[in-house]
Amino acid sequence: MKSKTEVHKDQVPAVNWKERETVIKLENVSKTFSIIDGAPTMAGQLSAFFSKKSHRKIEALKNINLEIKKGEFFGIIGHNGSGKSTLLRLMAGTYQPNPGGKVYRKGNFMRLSLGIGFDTELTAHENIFLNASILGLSMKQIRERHDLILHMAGLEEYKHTKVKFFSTGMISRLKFAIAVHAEAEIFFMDEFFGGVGDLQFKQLSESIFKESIVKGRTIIHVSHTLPTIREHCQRVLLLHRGEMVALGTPDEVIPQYRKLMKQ
Amino acid sequence: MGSIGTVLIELANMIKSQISNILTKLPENNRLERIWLLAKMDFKRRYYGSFLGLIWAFINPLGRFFIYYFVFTYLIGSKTPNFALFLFLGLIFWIYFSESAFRGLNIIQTRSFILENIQINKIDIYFASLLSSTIGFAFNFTVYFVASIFFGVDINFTVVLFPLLFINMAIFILGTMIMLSVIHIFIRDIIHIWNLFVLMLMWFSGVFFQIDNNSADWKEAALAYLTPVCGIIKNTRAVLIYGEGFDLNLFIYDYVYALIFFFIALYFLNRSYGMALEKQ
Repeated sequence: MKSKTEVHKDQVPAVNWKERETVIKLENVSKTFSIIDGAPTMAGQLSAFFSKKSHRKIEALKNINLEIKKGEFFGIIGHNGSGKSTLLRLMAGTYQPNPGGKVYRKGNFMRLSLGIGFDTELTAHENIFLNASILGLSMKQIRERHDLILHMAGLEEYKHTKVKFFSTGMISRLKFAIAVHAEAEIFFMDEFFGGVGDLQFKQLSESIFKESIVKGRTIIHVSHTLPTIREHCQRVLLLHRGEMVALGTPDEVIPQYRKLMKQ
Repeated sequence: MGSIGTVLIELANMIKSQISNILTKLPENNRLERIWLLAKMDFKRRYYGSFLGLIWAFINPLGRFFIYYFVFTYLIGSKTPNFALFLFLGLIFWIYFSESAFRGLNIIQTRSFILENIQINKIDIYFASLLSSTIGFAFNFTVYFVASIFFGVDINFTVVLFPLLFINMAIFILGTMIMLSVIHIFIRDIIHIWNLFVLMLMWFSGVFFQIDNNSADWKEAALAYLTPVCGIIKNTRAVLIYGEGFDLNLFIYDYVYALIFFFIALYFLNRSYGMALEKQ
């Protein structure tokens, strides 16, 4: 049953996506990882280096062509190991595509994943300043928004607590609140909403997602949680063994994903 | 001990607030603010959790100074005029170089939480780390300055040349940090190699005794040109302690060396940065 504040994607204003600016474009993007297997000893590493049997190539992504528009809530789904997180990292520039592939990105971004992503030896207060500053806010702007960030994350009482003492949920809420208030233009969310925050925080996040289209904030969301994908995404990409299997609306793509799951 | 500690903390706070004041007077520039913030956090982080905290920024170089001073004055018997200042100045430059370079080694790993998650110009990470080391250098240099007054060194007009030498040192350090971080991507053993190399370099950089680039002994003259650190220390002593102008040939050589080294390092960083994030 939906809560009263829950917002469905159909309730957001109609947008002509073709006219919208492209913020992410991938052309012929493939990603191959070269791995050398060997025991973690000097002898093991040396023998692995010279033995062809120890060298493996893993094709994580194959020939991806994609355009994402400004303000779009774009979902990426697929089995474990299908290349979802690799694709997100390529979009964020953490990974480089194979030669011949091109990744174009316009706008500052924040990658939101359930890892740490903060300097754990610094306090929440210090991490807010550090992250918001990197996202482009001036000290003056950060000082103005600092309390709002803490309030949104529900961490007012933990302002001067080192992040290493925070739970995963607290860290994720803080990251999300910083990204929202520091006006990151692109949010890369990697399985980010699994168990993050209470109902109030989730409702707040959903209202932020709704206004994203209007504000031109692009969200790329990698997830296994189909209700979230169905609820918010305008388009969904289905990846299978590194290849694009389907690209379309959630109603078109989710059934194909379910079919793949059964195989 | 308590009162010395209080004085040192006040001195540290004064330097910090002076730097903050200078930065706030500059036109609003997010990039400068960001680099300063990163540097401040990095510096703070180094002394977090220790009982004496920031006081270590003073104790460490002073402790090293007293050990080396004892060895070179009483055990070896150095005849260098004004040896205490000669040694201290060499040491603070050496600490500035060696500590910054060591932090540069694994900077991509230690800063991966930023590099992987937020869009940032990668060079800012290096600038911030250098600035953080410069804060430490500023503390030590303040102690040197007070000591030079105590030892009765005349402040000569040649002091105005010091900023030029300091910038030369900063360029070389930046290049070294970048180069080491690039090598560390491919060869993890560089940490151990560097520890040995830096020990050797310390004895060849004129920290404890003067290395003359005009010496009749070609081996000594060659040592002066091995790294810019040696020449910068020599020239800094000349302008700050002995009130002499610096050796122009050595000065030009050190600048050209540092700049070429910096640009080569930057080239390799740009070539290998993508791989660095994947491999770390």
